[in-house]
Amino acid sequence: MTKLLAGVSAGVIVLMVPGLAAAQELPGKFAGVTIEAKLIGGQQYEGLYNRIAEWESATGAKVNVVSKKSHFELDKEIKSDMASGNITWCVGSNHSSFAPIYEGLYTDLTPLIPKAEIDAFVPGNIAASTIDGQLVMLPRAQFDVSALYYQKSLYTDEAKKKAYKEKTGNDLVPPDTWEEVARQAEFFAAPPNFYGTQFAGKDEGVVGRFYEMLIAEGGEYLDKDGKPAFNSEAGVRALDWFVNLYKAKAVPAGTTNYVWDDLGAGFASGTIALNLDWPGWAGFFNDPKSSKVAGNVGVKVQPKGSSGKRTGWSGHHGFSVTESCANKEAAASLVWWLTNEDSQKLEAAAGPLPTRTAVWAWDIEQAKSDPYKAEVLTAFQEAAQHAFPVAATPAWTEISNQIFPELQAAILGDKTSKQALDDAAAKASKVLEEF
Amino acid sequence: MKAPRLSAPVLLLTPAVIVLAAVVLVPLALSLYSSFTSFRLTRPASFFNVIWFDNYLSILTNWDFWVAFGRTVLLLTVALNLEMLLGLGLAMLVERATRGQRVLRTLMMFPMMFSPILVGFQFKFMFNDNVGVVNNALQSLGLTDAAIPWLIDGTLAFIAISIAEIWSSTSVFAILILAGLLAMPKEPIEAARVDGCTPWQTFRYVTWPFVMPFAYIAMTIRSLDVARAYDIVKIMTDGGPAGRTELLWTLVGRTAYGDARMGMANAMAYVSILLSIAFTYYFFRKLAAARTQIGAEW
Amino acid sequence: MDDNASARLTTRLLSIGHAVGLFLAMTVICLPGIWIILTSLRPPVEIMAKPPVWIPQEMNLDAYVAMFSGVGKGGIPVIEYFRNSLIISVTSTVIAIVIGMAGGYAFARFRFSGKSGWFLGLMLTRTVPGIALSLPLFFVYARLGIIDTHFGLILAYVALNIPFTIWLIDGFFRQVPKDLAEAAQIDGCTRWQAFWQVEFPLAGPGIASAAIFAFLTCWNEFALASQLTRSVNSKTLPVGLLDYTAEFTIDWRGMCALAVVMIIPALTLTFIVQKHLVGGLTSGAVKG
Repeated sequence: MTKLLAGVSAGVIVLMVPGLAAAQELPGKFAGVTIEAKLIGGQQYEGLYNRIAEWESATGAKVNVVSKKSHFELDKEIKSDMASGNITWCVGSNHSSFAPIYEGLYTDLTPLIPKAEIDAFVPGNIAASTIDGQLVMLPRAQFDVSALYYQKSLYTDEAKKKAYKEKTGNDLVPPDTWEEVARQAEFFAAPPNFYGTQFAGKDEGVVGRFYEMLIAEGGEYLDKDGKPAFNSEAGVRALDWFVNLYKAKAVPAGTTNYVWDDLGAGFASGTIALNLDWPGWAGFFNDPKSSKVAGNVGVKVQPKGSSGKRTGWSGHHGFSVTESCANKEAAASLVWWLTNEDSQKLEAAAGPLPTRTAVWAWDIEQAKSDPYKAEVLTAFQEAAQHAFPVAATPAWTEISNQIFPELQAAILGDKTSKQALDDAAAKASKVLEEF
Repeated sequence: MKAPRLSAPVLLLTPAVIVLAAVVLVPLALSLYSSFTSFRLTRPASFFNVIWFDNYLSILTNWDFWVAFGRTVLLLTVALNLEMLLGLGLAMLVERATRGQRVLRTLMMFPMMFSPILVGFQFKFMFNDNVGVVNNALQSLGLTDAAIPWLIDGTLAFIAISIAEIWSSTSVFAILILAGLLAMPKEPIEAARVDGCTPWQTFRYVTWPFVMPFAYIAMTIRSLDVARAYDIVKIMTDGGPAGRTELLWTLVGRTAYGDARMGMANAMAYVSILLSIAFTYYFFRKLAAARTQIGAEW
Repeated sequence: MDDNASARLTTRLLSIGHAVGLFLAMTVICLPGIWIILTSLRPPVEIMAKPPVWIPQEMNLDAYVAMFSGVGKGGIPVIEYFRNSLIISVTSTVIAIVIGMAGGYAFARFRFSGKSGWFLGLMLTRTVPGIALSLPLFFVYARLGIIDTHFGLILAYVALNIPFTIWLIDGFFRQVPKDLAEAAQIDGCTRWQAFWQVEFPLAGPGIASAAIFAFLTCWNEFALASQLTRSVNSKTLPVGLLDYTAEFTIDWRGMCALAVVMIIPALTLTFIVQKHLVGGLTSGAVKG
């Protein structure tokens, strides 16, 4: 009951303070304002929240964290709030892949944040944060794009080099195309103790991997009219890449049930040669306490497909301000604070990738004394240049849920690639019609 | 004197009815209503868009749904029966131990301390085909040199899920049957022994009829509560790959929150409630029959 | 004499078989748990190793130290989660047992019209899968403003446990001969006294096992808790497990450490309560 009263009174306070047009002066002064926030929880994300206290003392406002949950739980919660019309909070953690789903929930930040500040972000990240011309979130230093991790020792082994040259006529060097990855993966594989590569095989993971491969093969996910277009020739080529590796037993048989945790554990166990993976694992893979391949990890920009385009499915975390927020200026100031240069430096220092141009430069400068970290950052900075977000449709998740069982069916050999993609396209069309 | 006698059970039951009405019936009515709408979480207005039986009709014609339905029934049948058998065995083993009863009983309930989502993570890692402890053990012992795709092959995945489910829930049977064994009067067993019955005969004709109601209680409780397995399956395979392990609950969960199509999900949930009711009713009848058999008052 | 010897041999074989069977069963039950404990103590490199490392080379408490070292420094608010879990589980267990005892007694001792219908009806409330209940319940709770409060979760868990407790306690009251209470009433006790002094102690094991069930259900429940809790105000330990997952990574070792923190109190409590499970029986009145 006290909680109920506290919630009500916080709402009343927010309502009573008139919106001050102080947005140009960041962080500004908001004495007496209370901002309710829903933040993503988990170790990797929470270090940043220690800076909230500084914002409070700088602005005189209070932040009340009403929820802190893991990503998918938070998504569920926000959907529940939307469904019950229970949006009493101002600031929410957001993700570029989920942002299109929350139609009408978040406000356009462009009028609330000075243009110079918006320009300080990496343009690609701002583009991925913009939906229908509205800047719905400011990116924090939690940017994700995949690069290719590999075991260095495999490429310095003279016997392997010679055998590979004899077998394929090519030099054995870290691959730059997906075709080469497939060839090398089959060459390295020695099941059940060693595999050439692996891939996320379920849920949004396999859809994302297929999606980026489709783009790299020159295909389209949805066409201009928003209709499914992935059952094209490029789509079949993209899917065949996964199918053939599975058939050749160059990937672990369990790969269609793997998501990110299994993949990370697999590469760290030293049983995988090549691994397209996220920046979050870089430290883990090179730490002798957590990984058998520590000291033997190479990182390279992600390979390209037959169209010459590189894969680059990406996403980033950020913060948004709700449309129903009573004091948008204060909320926007908090969002800015959590994504400003100092905040990004704090997060980037722990490993995640920044989304501000200046912080990228600072990050690489910091890594100079550490050759591994420098290699990682260089590779990921290059990877970031090829990054692209998911298809911006509110139905992305729902379509993915329809498509992934079909992709799995093709990979496991239950269906041909063409048949699976046609079936998936039919299901996706139905979803889009009903939407 | 008749009136107060009649009101006593009403009085005693009122609190239970009130709580259940508030927490279960009201929400249930809401979700029944929403199963007749095209309710989509992210579009609150759709809550009022009544489409009558469209959701139910599309379920009827949805082959994937019925495959999942059949698989759920199979899993329930296999898991519940094995759990009862193993639980009975376990309870009798523990009951007969002469020393360390307290420790044994506590250990017997050990799996009940594990949150289902933890069980899911645990068995997912154990059954990992590449670095999982199960394949590692089989390979180290020289029993196989292949990486067995536990969570990929439809049958193996079914077995893996059943193992996780049975491991985590056999204790429920064991503890209830043990409680029944402990509550059992000792004379009939003594009498049977004096009369020269073999241990098997004693079990079959004296012990079993007595503990049977407890076994059915456990069975019914479990069949009510099987949706608990959702957390386990969700994390182990989430119905995959290619729908090979799809169960009703994973389907409902994904439709509800992943797709945000709450109306459709609630329609599916109602069909699955019918399944639970059927199972519960079946065991309920068995329970009543067992009670009549041992002459308990019903 | 021969008969005697072979009988002794059979008894002996049976008791050896019993010991072996018991040992095997306990091993199967405990191994996954022991694996969790080991995982929390070993560096990750050994856990997911290939070829496997069977004998731990290095053990340390790093994961536990990290867990308590504060939010943002690899830690999680474990003390708050623990407090919430404890308050919610204990309170809702006690309430569910009281309500369940009343209901169970009503079914075991009274005749009234539509009895089996009511009974079945109460039980069937439990057939509603949590996933179907969680959103409508959220709607109702949001209206009442009891999202993210102890009260909200306690109420939900009481409802979750009532059918079980009624059922179990009903079953055990049924085992207590009716004549005992009647005899006590003839001896001058009121019905209330007869209940507390005669029937309640005899149904003790039933109540104890119902309490264990209810407590463990609350302690481990995830689906409803994840929907109805939001912050450290009310988040429970099972929901806290997910603090060890990020979008693309998982700290399995940290998760195991938290799991151990969750399991130990549950195990201790079970160990204590199961004493009462026997206690009710020792009076010997069941035999008489």
